[in-house]
Amino acid sequence: MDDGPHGRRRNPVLCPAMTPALEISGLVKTYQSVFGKPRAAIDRLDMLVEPGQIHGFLGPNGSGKSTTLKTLLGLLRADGGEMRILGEPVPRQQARVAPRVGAIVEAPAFFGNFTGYKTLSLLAKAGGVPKQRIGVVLDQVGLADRAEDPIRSYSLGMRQRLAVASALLKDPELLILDEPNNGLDPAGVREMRDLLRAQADRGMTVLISSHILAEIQQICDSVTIISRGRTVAAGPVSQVLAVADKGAYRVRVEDHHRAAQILTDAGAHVSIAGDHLVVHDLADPAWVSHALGVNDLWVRELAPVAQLEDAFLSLTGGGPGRGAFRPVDDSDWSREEGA
Amino acid sequence: MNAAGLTQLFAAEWSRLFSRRVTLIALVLIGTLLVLLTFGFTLTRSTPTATEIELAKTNAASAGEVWDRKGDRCSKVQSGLENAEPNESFPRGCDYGPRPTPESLLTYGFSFHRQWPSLYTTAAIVLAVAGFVLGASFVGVEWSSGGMASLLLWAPRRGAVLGAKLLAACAGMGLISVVYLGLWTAAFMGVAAGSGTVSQMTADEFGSLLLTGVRVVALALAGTALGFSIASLGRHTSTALGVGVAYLMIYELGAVVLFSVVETVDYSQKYRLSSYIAAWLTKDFTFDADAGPCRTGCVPEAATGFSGSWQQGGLVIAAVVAILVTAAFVAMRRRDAR
Repeated sequence: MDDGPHGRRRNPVLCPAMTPALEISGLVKTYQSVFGKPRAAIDRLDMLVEPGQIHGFLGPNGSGKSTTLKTLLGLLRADGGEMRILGEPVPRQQARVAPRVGAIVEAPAFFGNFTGYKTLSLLAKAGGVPKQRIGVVLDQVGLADRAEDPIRSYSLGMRQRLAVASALLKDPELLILDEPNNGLDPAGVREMRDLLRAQADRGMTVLISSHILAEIQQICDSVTIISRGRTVAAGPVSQVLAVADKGAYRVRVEDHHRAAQILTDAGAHVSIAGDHLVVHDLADPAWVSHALGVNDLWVRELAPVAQLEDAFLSLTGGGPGRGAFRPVDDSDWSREEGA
Repeated sequence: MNAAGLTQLFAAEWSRLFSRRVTLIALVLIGTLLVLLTFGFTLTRSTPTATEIELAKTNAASAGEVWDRKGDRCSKVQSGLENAEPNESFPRGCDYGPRPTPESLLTYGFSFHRQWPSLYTTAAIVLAVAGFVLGASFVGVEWSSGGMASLLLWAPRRGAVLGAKLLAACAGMGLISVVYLGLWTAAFMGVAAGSGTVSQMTADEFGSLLLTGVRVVALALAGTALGFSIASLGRHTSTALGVGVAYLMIYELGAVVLFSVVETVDYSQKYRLSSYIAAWLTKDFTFDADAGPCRTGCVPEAATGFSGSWQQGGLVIAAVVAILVTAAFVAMRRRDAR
């Protein structure tokens, strides 16, 4: 078990999840406007992240993800609700909890003429982190060879990795990353996934806000999906998928046109999707095997088609919240919807 | 946040200040200005000849007699020993300016004794403007780029973060000012020793020079704090630069133009920061509205009330700085750091 420089690492096996890494209850954030009416960005949002997990935070543009993270991290002031990070109430104990939390929010900002090493060394100096950590995190994100190059020569992906390195610098117990895969190529995405998984295996809790749903489904243990500033689904990925699963199954057989005819004649709702069938509203998938088997058609694949993307789109209404591409929504939508 | 935390923050900000391109460019620019001025004075100023010095001494002696007579007459009228003639006027406080000296009449030769006040005023303007820009840029770019938000993720105590930044900016500008003023003084004393005159600099003069230097550095710090505060309030470097330029162009120059057009005494002087900066630097600033000569037959008054003392100038500058710095800290604590 790696204790890290601060010796705070908790062994999730010896000390199974007791205090949630993150708790948000009834969070409210309203943006005041001098000339216009106040606009609600977050409306009684709840979120729970267990320690040692990789937790996905999903929502359409303008749904309040970044606002939630910024409020949680003390950059914005909440108008209501309670938040706890690693058991500490925030923002009251923000200063106490800050050394235990690494975060990047929105696009990382760097000075182009500073080197990667210089950038991290300034943060390390401000936070009292040993200089040795700089080399460690640069190595972790694959920037050790470019550490002495000015940041203006970095690609978008390299800047993103530098941002992640800055978040890892404190060797935090909770890592909060807003769109960490922005600008990364496929190899970079895989490296990032391996990096985050390795951190989680060491006991670090990781919260990722992302739009790459397949990536979230692949890496996360649990998710929270929000829409229009409210939680619409939360829990283990499998549980959220189950909620969205309408009983649709993918079926592969040798002659899928004949299979479609047989299943349709038997009363199933079937559609052909390229080289396979999709059978909808299926209560018992074994019925498909039986129905085709008695007609000498042998099933090669029978699998639920529900993906996180399906769940996301069905739960959030398939698009951005009201006020798309704006950080907030109109304040009165919640009242309109009887919330 | 404990003392160690504050020290860490200050050390990081100090390091950031001197790693920034804007700081390095400012150092190069003001260094270049010093070199150009020194070079220019070296080329254009010459040591007066013995004949010219003798002529200046003769002229100074006769001008000095006139100066003495005027002062004596004014004092007698003021004390009631003599009556003023019709059409006779006197300056307030019988202030006829400094008594003419041979050196003051050798205006084409470079005299450190005569010219250091104006050279220090030039240095003060250069350093105050440089401080304003550096201070504004130091915090403004952090706000506009999102760097401030990143820093607050490391150190959530907002007052401490802004304080460490302000302290680093002021300490850095203070160091730059002291070094620059030292080089400035040495350079012009070198010019005077080489192709002009450095004579008549008594111990008192050097003491005055030192105190003026302290006030120049203080003005540079005030400029830094002002630029820093306005940029922090506006959360952008350009806010401070815009406010600074607008103030100079619309308020300061606008008032001068307005009062010159209407051909009256410039009553706005009392409400312009430049008046108090002049008082702070030169110690003898007098408002036009208060400085009208005592006309026909009246008794000249001794200077009373505000006569441009450096203390009063300093108080006004300090008050302006204090108000803006306080506003910046209050805004930092209360507003969202988006």
